[in-house]
Amino acid sequence: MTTDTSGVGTAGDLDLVRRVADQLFATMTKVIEGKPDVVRTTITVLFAGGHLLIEDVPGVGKTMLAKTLARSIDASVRRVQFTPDLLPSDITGVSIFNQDARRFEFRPGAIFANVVVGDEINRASPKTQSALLESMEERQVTVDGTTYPLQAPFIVMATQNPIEMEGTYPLPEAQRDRFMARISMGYPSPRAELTMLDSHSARSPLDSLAAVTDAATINTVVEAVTTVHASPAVRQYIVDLVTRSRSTTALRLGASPRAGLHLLRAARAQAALGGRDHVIPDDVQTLAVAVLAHRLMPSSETQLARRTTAEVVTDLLRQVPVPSGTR
Amino acid sequence: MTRRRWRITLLAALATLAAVYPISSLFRSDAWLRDAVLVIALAAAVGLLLRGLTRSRLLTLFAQLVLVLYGVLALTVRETFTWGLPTAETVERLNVLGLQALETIQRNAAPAPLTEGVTVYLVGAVALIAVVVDAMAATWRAPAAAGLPLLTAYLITAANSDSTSAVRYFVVPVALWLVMLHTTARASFGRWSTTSATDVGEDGPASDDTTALRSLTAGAAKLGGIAVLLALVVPAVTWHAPPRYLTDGLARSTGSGGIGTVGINDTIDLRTSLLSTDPSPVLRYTSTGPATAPLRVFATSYYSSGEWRIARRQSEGPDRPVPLPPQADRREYIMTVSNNVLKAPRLAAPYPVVTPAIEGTSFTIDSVTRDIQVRETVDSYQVTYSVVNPSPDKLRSAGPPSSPDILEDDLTLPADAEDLIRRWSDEVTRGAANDYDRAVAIQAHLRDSTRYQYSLDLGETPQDENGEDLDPISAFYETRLGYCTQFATAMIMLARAQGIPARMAIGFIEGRREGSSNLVRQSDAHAWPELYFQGSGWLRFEPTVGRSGPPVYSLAGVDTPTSGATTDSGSTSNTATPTGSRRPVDEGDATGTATRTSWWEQWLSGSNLVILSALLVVALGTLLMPLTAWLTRNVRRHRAATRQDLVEIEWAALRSHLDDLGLVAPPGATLRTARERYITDGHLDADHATALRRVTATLERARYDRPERTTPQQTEELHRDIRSIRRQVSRTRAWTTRLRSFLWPTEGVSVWQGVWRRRSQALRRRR
Repeated sequence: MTTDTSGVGTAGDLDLVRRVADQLFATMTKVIEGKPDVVRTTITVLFAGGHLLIEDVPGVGKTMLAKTLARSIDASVRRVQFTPDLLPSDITGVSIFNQDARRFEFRPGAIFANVVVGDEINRASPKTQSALLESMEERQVTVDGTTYPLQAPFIVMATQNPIEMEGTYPLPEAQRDRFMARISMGYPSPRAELTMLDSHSARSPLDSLAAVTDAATINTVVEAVTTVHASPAVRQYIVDLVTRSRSTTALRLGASPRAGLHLLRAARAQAALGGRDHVIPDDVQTLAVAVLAHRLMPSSETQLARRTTAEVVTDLLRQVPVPSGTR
Repeated sequence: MTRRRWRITLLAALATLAAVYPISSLFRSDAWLRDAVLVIALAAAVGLLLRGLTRSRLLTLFAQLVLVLYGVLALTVRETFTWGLPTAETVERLNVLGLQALETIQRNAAPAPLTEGVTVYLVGAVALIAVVVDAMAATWRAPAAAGLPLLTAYLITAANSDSTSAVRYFVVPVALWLVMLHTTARASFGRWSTTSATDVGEDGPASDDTTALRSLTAGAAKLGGIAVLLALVVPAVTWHAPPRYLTDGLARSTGSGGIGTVGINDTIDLRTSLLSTDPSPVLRYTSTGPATAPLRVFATSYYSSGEWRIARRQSEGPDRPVPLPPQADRREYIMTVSNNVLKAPRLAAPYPVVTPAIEGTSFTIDSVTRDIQVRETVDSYQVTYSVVNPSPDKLRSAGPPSSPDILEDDLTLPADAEDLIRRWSDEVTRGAANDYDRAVAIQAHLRDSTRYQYSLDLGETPQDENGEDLDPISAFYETRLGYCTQFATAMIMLARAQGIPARMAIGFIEGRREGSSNLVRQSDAHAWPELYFQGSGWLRFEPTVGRSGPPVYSLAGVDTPTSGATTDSGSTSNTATPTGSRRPVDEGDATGTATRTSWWEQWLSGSNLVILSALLVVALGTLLMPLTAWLTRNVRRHRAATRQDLVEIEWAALRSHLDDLGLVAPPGATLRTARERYITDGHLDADHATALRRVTATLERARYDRPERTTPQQTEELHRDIRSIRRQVSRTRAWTTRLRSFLWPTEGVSVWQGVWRRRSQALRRRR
């Protein structure tokens, strides 16, 4: 099967997806040890053309993950350390009057890169945050009436610290919705930690990391992923899940339609990573927590019960029946 | 061990043989044993073959049953087959044989004669036991359970023989059964080594195995020790009930027989010796009359397949004994019996009894034969009896026989020898003008020692041109050799052929004088005919060659010397008034109520029909749900428009079945999670896990991939896989669960629930 009349990605594209994914995975796990699931989700989000929010306590390797991914791709990488005094123009760029040319020149901000690593995004002022988030969604920047498109691929990997909340500006739900997925790193296993102490103490593993792919390849991959077949049953399943999240009493705010879209895109990438050209409910289930949990607002009962939205999503997955082919 | 399980099959067959072999002690002939060995071998061979051919245990059992039962029929009633297949005639024949078998075991003490009916049903039972043992031991690999049918086989003997069975009868089958257990257990142990359920201890797996084995051995030894102890102690301390008999058959015990009683068979088989040479005394008596009258125990008119049996009468016969002939023709005497050990309900007394005086038990008098039946054996009793001695002239002029105590059986000739009897009878009675002369001629003919010879040894039974044994009467005609039973039977049949009602009387001859009384021994047992003459009643004749004491009236015109002819000793009295429950026979309440109809006629009476139809309804009702499930599945399959639909239907059926078996996948489970759950909880082996993976892969493709990618081959494979998975999962469940899942499948139940819901909704709407 070399060509497909239904306009679906070719077997060659799928192979490419697999190959690139395997290479990325092999490279990244050299640095991020003992966290294969996190690495895999990261790659999935990259392939699905989404943005990633990494949320965890300090020192577990959030930034390291982002930087590792950035290094593994031969593409432009920018890193922004968010602080309260960071300005929107630092992100988007600014027009400066050039004395010699006697005209305004646009100097691109930190956002003009293939991979943008935003550290501690909740430390910036809401104004700055929204500047970033708008460009994330629109994939373009408008400064002084001129629109500048961003390069593809474009992935923002923002980190956030949920513990030290003093003097921070937590992302509003509406803005969190822009991130395709949120992942937590979690502590490494004792064995992984030991290995890390052995290998990382001398020098940073990042130094020896070589890029295994480039921007053009990633673009092809992202394109290929969008052609993965999602049957009516699977789409129905996503709709069922999203709808149920809006009616359940455990949540104050359910998932948005964008959440459904993101879930489908992520599931497609997951299917492609698994070497399939069609999505199955397992893909959806695998990513549901990562894709949905950060967009939902728990009801007061859920908060009182100290349950997280991730647990609520897991419950939803248990309750919503997987639709069969005939319906 | 291979699937065929050679060793265990052989052991099962041997154990079955060993368990049924003791049955030979219940019958006089071992002829059935050859057929039994054949069917046991057949059951084993068929089992071996089928286990090699199919994995389905039920199919194996079913085919085994059909083939082995066919084998039994082919061995026994092949003559009724058409084109090698059983016909309606076979069923009729089986029914006849069944009745025969039933009568044989009900009428005979062990060892019983081996009639054809008994052989057929005995071989059938052996076949059934063989199949069940083989199925349990080899097909289901549960030899422990096979002990039950083996025990059943053994109990047939143990429960029916009067004496204690030989130890080897028990030891041999049990030993074989234990070897069977051992073989299977060893095979199971051999399989265990591939999996390790427990953590390996510090000393390594080898020492663990040794420890486990040692503890198992110790446990088994303890159990065995306790079992042996119990086997010794329990019989020693428990009270032994008198032996009870299956269906009251074989050597019926009426409970009263103490030690030392003498039983007398209710059945007289002409093929074998009735007469025992046992000299043990039965009773002593003194009589006021001449000691020439034999003591009758009972009489019977029913002759069937070479045997005299006590037939049960329905409405035939009078309500009470018919009056005796007039006083002029008879004299009455009193007989006093002591030291009587004849087993109840029988009682010996000369015929006809006028008044019995029996103390210590209740008794009844048969209205037709005037047999006295007591509830319990009494040591001594007194009877007033008559000696009837009509004159030959009166007998010559007796009218045609007509009395309520003449039964239809009294004139019935056996079908298999009827022609011979008529020819023979006509020849013997040629020239005689009346019934009396004919009877006398028959007796004279049979008593002629130049023609007939008295012998307890009948020799080989002669055979007809087809090589089959002749019936006893024809055989007697051929060999001219016999003892009282043969002579009496011949006279009865020859008389019946002339239209004279005749019946068989069984009892003892007068015995030997010892001191002041006569002693009757068991070896004095005798049989003689009674012929009916109008006006004189039933009269005794004595056709046995060489036997003394034919009645005076039977010797008219015959020059045979009479020895000890009846002489009137003068003490003619019915004045003696014995004490106790004295009761004239004529007023006796007769209790001959049982009937002789075929068992199925009785069985198919009203209430049984109701029960039968109720059972039928219950059976149908039980199968309603499985049938519904099966039908629904097929209808849905038929209606499936696309391959996807078909695949979904198969999957839904599997899921519902697994649900019933207790394998529930959570509602939110995807195919893959459900599959993993089924594989773990259903204990699927590698093959079936692969099959299930194939199924879910096909299903996934059908559901989530593009529709055109599902191929018909995949659908077919899915169908096959699902069937094998169903079977495999079923096997791992408890039988109760399996039974429930079969009888109450959700698939079928939900259909009816749907029907009910729709109906109630419609009703509600109408209201």
